[in-house]
Amino acid sequence: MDSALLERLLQRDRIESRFQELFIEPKPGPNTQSDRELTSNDTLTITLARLRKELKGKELQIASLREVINVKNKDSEKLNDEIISLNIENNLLQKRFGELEEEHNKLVKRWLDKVQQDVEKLNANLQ
Amino acid sequence: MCVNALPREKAGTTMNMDQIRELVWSGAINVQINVKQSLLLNEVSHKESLVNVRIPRDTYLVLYLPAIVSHLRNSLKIDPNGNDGGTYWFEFEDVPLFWNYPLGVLYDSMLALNPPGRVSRDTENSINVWKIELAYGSNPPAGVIPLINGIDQIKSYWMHQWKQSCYILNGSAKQVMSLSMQDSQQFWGSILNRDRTNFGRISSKIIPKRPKFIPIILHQTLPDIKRIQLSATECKDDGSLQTVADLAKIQFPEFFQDNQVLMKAVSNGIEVPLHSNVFELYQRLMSFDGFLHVCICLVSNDEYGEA
Repeated sequence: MDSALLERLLQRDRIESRFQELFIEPKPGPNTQSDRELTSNDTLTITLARLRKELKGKELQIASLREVINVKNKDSEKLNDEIISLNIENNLLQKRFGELEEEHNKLVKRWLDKVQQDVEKLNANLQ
Repeated sequence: MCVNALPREKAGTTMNMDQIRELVWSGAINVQINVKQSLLLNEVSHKESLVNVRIPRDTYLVLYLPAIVSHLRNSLKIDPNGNDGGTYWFEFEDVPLFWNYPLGVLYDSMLALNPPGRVSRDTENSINVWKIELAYGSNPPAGVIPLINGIDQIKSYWMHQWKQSCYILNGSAKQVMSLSMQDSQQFWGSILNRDRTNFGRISSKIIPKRPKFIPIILHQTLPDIKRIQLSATECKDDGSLQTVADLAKIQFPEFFQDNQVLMKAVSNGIEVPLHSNVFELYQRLMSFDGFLHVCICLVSNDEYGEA
């Protein structure tokens, strides 16, 4: 079994270690203070420039988002006005509908009374 | 009682075993770590958003997190010195990688590695790289242990694993608990400094010659990701040696149908014979956390056809 395992492990390493020189071999565990200091200064300028650029981009994004909010606010006001005017119109129409319904009921009642009278007259003539 | 190897074979066996242990210890994988797009600053080029590292198979990936983050810090939105309660984790094809398993095990199980298949596809110019992603957030995915206490947390987790495996091997965690302070420090130091001599010296104080049980974890990827922790005995009730196939048959009977075996056992990137004795395999291929990790790989269609 051992020789088979050995052979397979060596074969595995042949595959997995090919071009290993392209890969860095980091140290495990936390970075030491000296590592951090050595690399921090030379890259600080690059990071700063990159962050300034990003800050500018974010400010522009905020400005455009503010404009969008303003437009949306105006749209919302317009919609509110429209809702109010439609409500008034609706109220007026409701009132008018109520009046017409009342008039209609009166007319129906008058017609029914008249028909009743006619019927009574006819009945009297027959008798 | 099981039958041991003959004495005259022992010298050669020990030498071979040492070579195997050395290869297991020194095995490493080329890993390309890409940062998730949402964590990158603007204006960061593709080259700056990744790092190519070679990491030992037999270690935790997160031990290298400080070095990886340090390498990528100029491209990240996250302040490496800030403390916003977030945690880093790694993903492979949007599946989170659990840092509490050795890197080699994650690689073998997540790729459902079929070593013979890989060998047959290999050419002189092919390169073996595992591409994974670095993610960050305040709510890590389920199953990922948040890293709150850095290296100390990893150390205590690892010691806890050894206590578990010691308990399984010896019936108590006394051997780990009674390690001297110096031995404990050297034991952890052997992981950080990749010092196999110290690791072997101290782990030999924990691993008995005749274990009660053997700590094994089976990793299944297909059809579902599943991990099964077993405590196997060296011998079966009838006195014969317990093999990997015996354990697999109990856990995965569906892979042993009509005299056909539909699975392979993979450990440390190699296919291990199913008839191997579990303790012999443990002595040779056990991980740095005191467990023997075996990944279950399904046979390919071609192999199935041949069978």
